[in-house]
Amino acid sequence: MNVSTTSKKIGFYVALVGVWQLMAMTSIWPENIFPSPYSVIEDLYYMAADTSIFYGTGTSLYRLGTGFGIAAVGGLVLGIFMAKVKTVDDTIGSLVLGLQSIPSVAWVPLAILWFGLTDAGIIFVTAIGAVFAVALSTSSGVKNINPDYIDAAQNMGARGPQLIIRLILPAAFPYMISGLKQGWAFAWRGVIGAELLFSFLGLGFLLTVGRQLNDISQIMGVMIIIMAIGIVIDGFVFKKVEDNIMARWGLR
Amino acid sequence: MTSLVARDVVKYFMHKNAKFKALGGINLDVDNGEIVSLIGPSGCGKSTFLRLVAGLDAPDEGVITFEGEAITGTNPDRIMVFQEGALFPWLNVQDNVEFGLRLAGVPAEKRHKASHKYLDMMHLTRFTDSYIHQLSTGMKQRVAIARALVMEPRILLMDEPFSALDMPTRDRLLMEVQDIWAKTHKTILFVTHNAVEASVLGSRIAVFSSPPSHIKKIIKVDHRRPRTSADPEIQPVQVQIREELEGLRP
Repeated sequence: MNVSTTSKKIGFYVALVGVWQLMAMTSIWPENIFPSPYSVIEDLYYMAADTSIFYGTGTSLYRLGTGFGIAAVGGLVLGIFMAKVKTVDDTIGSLVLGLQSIPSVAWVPLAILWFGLTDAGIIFVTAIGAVFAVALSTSSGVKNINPDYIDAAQNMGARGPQLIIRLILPAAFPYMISGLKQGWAFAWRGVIGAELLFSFLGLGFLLTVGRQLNDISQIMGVMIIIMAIGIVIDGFVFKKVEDNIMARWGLR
Repeated sequence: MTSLVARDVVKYFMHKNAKFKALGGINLDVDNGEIVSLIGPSGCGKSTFLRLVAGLDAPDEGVITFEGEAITGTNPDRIMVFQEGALFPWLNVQDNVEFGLRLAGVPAEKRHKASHKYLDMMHLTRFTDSYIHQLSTGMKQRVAIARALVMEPRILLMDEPFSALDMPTRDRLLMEVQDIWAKTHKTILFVTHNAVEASVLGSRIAVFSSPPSHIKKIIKVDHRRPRTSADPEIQPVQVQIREELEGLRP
């Protein structure tokens, strides 16, 4: 990113906040409907002072991490089976394609009935929203491995778990990363969606509280936090991993 | 002492739901420390035969024994060098070369020592940290050979390793393979469709027929080593190979 792109970006955000502040100051809409950026920041400060925003963020990230972790491991295992066992691909594979089209929040009623209003229920929604995307990309990644790689590794003595860890996973990784990225995005939407409906701690819960208290500043503040976490994970974590792989494989 | 014995080896392939006989009864004896070139028209099954020796496939009939034991699967004693190298793009050169040692649980220090010995032998020490896509085709094949040698195989199986190289690079690698052979006296099976490569490397040259293939001729080459592609002594051998190949359906 060159300097002029960066300065354009900074300029844009400064202008955006400026216009927003001006519009709020004209008082076309009452403050409780259209808060100023200042009052959003003030609300974030209050939420920081009483630690509710940290607690909410921590809770949501814990659920995201656990749910996504389960989805990543489950998706890898399922994906490898789908790629290696034709019967699994023909049967479970077709079901996975269907299940992947279900939005995460559509699992919430089921999760509430199965798990009650618990962490486990929210983690279930998070995991199930991501697992199928990971499985599908892993499966296509494994199917696309150059067969010579597998032959060469077996020739050098790779068997069973070693073959999977040292060969199949790294060889399929450029495909898997896109599924992991998609999976994380589904998981993050799943966490917030589930928290809204479960109303049981987390950033989604803080949104619900904001709605119940008619506190639009709080709602906007929490939304900004949700967005910021998304930017950090997408733009730094995944981008770093992706750039690293691209460079090694020479895919750019 | 005999290294490899193939007796009446038959292999079928499925092609469009029809059974297709690729190998129609291969018989071959390879002595320890010998380089045998396998040559034949494309599709004659010479690479198929090499895969059977590697243990990557099993024959449908007949038997192949290596040092007296029937081959039932892959073994690091029999290491294959693939046509396109089959190097792993997620690992750098050194990690590629150490891949098999790592699988075997060889400790890091011993691993590095071994890999450096063969990286040095293949003139790759400047490229240990490079990734595969940064290497030329010739360099890649050097890495592939180093990765095979580091396993200290008892037989080296080379599947058209030089077919994608330009002539000067190929000629240099032909010299280096002979150099390695002079140092280690490894048994080498070298598959090629190129009469020059076959005659430069082979102590003997086994000419495959069209499928269902058998070995139609074995040519002994006694000339001094190292040989180069321009050596006048091996020109008649090349002519003889071409005559044997003539009239074979591709």
